[in-house]
Amino acid sequence: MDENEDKTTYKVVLNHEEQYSIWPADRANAPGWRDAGKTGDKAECLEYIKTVWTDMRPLSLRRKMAEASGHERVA
Amino acid sequence: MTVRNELPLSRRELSDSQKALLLCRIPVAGDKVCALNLTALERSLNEIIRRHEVLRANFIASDGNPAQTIAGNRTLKLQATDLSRVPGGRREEELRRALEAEARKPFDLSGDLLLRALLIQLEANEHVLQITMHHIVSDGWSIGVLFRELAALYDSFRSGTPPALPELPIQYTDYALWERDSLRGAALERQLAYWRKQLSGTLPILDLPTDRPRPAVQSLRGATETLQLPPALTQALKNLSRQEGVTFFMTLLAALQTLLHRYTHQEDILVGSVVAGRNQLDLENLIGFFVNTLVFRGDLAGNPTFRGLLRRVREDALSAFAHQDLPFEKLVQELQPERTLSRNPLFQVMFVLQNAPMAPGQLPGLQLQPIDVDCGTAKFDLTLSLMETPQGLRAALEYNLDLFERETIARMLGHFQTLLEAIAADPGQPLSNLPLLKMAERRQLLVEWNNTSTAYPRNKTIPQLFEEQVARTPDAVAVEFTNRQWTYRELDARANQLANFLREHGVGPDVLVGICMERSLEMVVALVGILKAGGAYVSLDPTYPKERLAFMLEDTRTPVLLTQERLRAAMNELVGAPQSGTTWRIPLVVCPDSDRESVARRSTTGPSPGVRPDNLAYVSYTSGSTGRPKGVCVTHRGVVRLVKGTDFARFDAGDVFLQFAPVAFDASTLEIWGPLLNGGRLVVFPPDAPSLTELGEVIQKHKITTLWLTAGLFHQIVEEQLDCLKEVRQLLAGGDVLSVPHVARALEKLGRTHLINGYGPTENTTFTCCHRISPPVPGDRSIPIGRPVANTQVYVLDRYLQPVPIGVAGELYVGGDGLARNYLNRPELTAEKFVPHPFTNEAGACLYRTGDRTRWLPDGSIEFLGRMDRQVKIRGFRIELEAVETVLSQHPAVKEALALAQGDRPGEKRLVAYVVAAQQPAPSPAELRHFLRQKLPDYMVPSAFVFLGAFPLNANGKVDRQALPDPDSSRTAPELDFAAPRDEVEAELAALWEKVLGVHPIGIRDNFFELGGHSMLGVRLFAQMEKHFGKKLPLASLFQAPTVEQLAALLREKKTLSSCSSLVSIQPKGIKPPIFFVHGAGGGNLWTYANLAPHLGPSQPVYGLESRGMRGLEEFTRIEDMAAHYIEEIRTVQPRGPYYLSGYCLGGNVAYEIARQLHEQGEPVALLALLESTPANTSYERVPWWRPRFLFDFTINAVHWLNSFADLDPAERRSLVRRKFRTLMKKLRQRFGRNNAGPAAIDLEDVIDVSQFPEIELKLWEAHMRAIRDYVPKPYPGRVTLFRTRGQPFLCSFDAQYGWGELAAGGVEVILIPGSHEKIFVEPHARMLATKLSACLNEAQWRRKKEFGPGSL
Repeated sequence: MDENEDKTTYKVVLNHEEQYSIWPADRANAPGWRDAGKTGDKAECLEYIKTVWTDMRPLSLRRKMAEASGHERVA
Repeated sequence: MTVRNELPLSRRELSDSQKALLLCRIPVAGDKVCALNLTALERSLNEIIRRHEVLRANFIASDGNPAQTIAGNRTLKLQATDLSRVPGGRREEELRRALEAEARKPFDLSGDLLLRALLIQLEANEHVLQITMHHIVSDGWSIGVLFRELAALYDSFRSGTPPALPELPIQYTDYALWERDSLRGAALERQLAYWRKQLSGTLPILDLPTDRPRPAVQSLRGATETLQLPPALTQALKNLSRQEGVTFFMTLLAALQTLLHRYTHQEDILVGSVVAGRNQLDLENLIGFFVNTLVFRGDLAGNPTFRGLLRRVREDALSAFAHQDLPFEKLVQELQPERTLSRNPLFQVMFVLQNAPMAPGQLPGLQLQPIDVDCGTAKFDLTLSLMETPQGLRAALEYNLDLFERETIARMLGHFQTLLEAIAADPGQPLSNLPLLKMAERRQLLVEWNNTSTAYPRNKTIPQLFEEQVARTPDAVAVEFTNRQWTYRELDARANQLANFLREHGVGPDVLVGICMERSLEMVVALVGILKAGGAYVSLDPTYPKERLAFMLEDTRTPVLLTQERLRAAMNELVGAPQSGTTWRIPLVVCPDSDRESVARRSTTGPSPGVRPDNLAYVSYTSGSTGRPKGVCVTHRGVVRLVKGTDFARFDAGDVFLQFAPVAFDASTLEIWGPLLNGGRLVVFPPDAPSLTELGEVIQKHKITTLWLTAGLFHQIVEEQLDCLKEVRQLLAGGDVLSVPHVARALEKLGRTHLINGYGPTENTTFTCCHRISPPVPGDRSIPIGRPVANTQVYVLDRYLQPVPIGVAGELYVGGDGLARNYLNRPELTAEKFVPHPFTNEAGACLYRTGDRTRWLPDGSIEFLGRMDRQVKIRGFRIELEAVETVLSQHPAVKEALALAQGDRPGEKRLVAYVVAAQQPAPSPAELRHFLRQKLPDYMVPSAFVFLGAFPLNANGKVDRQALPDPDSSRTAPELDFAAPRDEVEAELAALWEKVLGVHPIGIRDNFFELGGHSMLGVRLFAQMEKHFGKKLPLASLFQAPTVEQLAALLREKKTLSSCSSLVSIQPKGIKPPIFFVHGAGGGNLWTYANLAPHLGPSQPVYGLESRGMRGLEEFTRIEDMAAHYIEEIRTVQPRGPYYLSGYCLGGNVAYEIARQLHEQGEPVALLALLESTPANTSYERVPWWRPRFLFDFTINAVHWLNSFADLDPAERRSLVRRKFRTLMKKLRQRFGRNNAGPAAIDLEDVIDVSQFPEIELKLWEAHMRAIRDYVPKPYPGRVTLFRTRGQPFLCSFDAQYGWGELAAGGVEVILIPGSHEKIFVEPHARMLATKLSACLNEAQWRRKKEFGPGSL
């Protein structure tokens, strides 16, 4: 396993749906992903994500569901 | 004539000469010679031969060791071929063929001049001169010397001036003597110390991805692909080398190491290269083999920049050059690397930069230009030769044909060019960033093969699509369970009632509803109802352990749990008694069956949906690596993309699906929503665990058209119930690796069924890739998982997320509309496994990393190789455990197989196989090992086998690897796998074996033949044993005693072995009836039969009958007596018939006589297989000169003889022609009456090349020829099976049955085999002969069984 140990430095990234992931720190972001402002080894980045990603629904879905339940309440 | 005899060889020749006996040559081809002075050219070549005594050398084996002799003078005759009359268009092709044929022609090291020349005429004034030298007397540099001298001498001889070349001050032999004396003592020790340190630790084995499985024994068959690199690139690389202060060689070596690193993902890479070895003055004008091989160890760890790598390579190369005098062979001896017949030791890839002075020679008025000739060999997996030409670097990549396809090598060369271009452009990039793929290739992998988009209702949800279907076909049957059926309308109404009920209890979008129900109509209603309420279902299988169910309840926070009356109590107990510390809200337990009334009060009109495509449809739990299950959250869109507008299978209203998979498994997604969203019918299998018979009955009774089976169940059905699948239109199987033999069987029997291999992680909604399997199914490859299904993308990436080339292994990443949304309540796990998608224009898209090792196949489908975490390293070899399991489970007696690496510390790791046998008694480890060795390199053969009644399973129904017994503690392992020598005799003997076989270590119970031993090695072993122990054993004793233990016992015996038995057990074990082979003329054919035996399989016992004369006893004079004696011997093994008999050549006559006598004694003969044998004294020998067809037959036969010449080496050819000519003359004399006097004396020269046989065999030849001359075969009522080549004896009646027809009343079956009479036991012919013989044996045994019942084999 020594050969496969991951020594990469990662950064935490998120997309427009506020879904989080990790990406090698020295690489340009994939389209539609931006830095969340955290870098470190894999475990550090994942630990960070655990604390910030509290609602795992995509942002657009969250909004629409909020809208729908708002309508319901009004109705 | 021989002036210097038995000189010491240079150390390199010693080892190379062994290989050279096979196929190493350097072809040199000069081109386009005009206005040629033939005499001058031939004189020049002869003058070169005179000047360089090494060109007059020959090599003979003396006492097992090669020795060199040098002739005083030898004359070369320039050979000529004329192609000038070949039409212009075809001439180049003919030229290429002629050059290749010449290059491939072997040398006889013991007699041929080791330089030969061929002049091919193309036009009146255009020739091609090809000079071929054996590698043992030349190297790349020598070619330059040769050309220079040729130019000078030709000029002199042409113009009549005396040659101006000075005599050579020293000769190659002087160098060999000098070298032997110079590298001794401290100098030697210094060099050794360096290499020992440099090559310390575990030596890596380069694990190149191959197109074909690596054979157990690698052949030398090879081919070469070339690529011309642009001059600008060459120049740029030279500039880079200058800037970085390295040599051109170092830059190119570093680039090659990078290429290999990117192909194998290995970081410690060994590459071989050669040095000219002409450091001493006066050597540079000599022709001879001076080169030495060096090993360069590339350290590519830590993803350095190319510039950084160059610095490392420079260090390594400079110190390697400083220690270049140590001969490579000595190094190998010293290091004793793990030897395996499947690879070259120490390194597998060779790199050569040809910058030896090879400037085209200036033959006056003539142009000389080197051209490439493919000599059809490959010593290594790959050899990259780069040659500097005026047009830039020219790359030639020689590859082993056992391993690679041409296209793969062409692509690899392309990748090398892309890599070099990127290096030249920016050497500051990390290795991982350097591109390999050409633009078009990259586009193909990333875009074209992923162009899967289809029109499907992407923005609709499952309830919407279901309701649309209800509106279209309200009265069609939707679901069926035993004898009950509901229409779409009925199902919809009930589901609506339940949905309204659930809404009232808080179910809505993204709310999870537990379902714990057995397969039933109610279960289907529950699933539809939950989705209609907007919720998502989670299966809580009642058979799961309590802790797991409790965990799932807590994880999902389900407000309602749907179950059935039968399970209500258990569920109440579960939800009412939370584990300590858990915080779930106690859900409402509802049983739609017993609570039917409260549900039925609700409206049959469904609630407003309020659900979106990216809301959850279900959560499916899979086991996580930490033991904590993870809930995969699948969306409506994922399910819709699986069953609407897809391409891997057809879904329509006529389809009948079987609901069989537990809802907890994602296969149920396909089974349930496939029909319900397309108007098909869903047949729900009864709840109890099925028997195969029941399953078959249901499939047939309900006329199932589409069926999903897990791999395990598929294999079982194929074995026991295949007929029940006949009417199934689409059979999807997968979830695990499909067994090739089962697939082949299914394809053969199920003509109308589409068989589809389905692959996909739960995280990408059931299927990611599918492969429609069509025959033929190659036996040595796994079944591909195919291409991505509609609206799905797949990528094979390395650890730096770069796409890998076709054929190279990488991890599979998948994307598209099937992707799950996340893992339930696991943000960190979701972020780790669902990563940003770098290859798309769609903003913010994800890829899921599957953890599966896969590779692209050239046709755009994907091959599954195994799990990323199931690749292990044992003794430096990387092993794919799945590959071992796949081959092991191909053994007919193996039902299931599992391979594991056991042992914690690296040096102690070993490969252990766990086997569930398909039959009792279980196959022996020896048999399994034998089976594996035929298909896998030996390091992949497990060192221990453990037999189990069944594999322990975990909660998910997968094998629980933790629970497998340790092989040492297990009493079921019936065999000690390795036994070390116990005394001096065994230890010394084992050491001899290691030397001869090149295998290390050798256990005292290892079988000589299983370790790759064959006749030549046996001869060598016995010669060494005689020298070492001073005791001569008959070679045949190796059959009786094929292990160190047994041989040592023979050696310890005081008296010599003097068995008077003629019976030799070649392969005594096995359950089939034995076959007996009778020796041929001369008595020495047993070895050839031994070569056949392994191909006949381990269950076929094989015995040989050895001539009495071979043991120094008086030989029989009559065939009849011989046969009678052999019958007695045969009866000691097999007292009663039916007998299986065979014999080659003369042995055929003896076997015939044995069969005839057995028949007279009332014993049945099941098979009489005569191999290339003609009956004595029949009309077959009479030549029908008068027949009109005679000339025609004779010509056809002569053509065959000419063709079979290709099989022979030059000495054999000469001898054959001489003999055939004598025979012809003799026959003519007989025919025309000049010499018709009675039975002539036996003249062995007629039949064999007497120089090739030892004295004892010559005597036997004579005795046998006499016996056969006097033998008049009597008729035999049985049947003869004749195996014959296409050729016939030179003069005969040309009867296709070789004349046996007039003797065998039961008829003659003729089976054609490849090769010529002398070569049928030589590979590859032997294998074909064995295959056909094996088929005959099986057929005969089967016939016996049928006629006389099972006990009568």
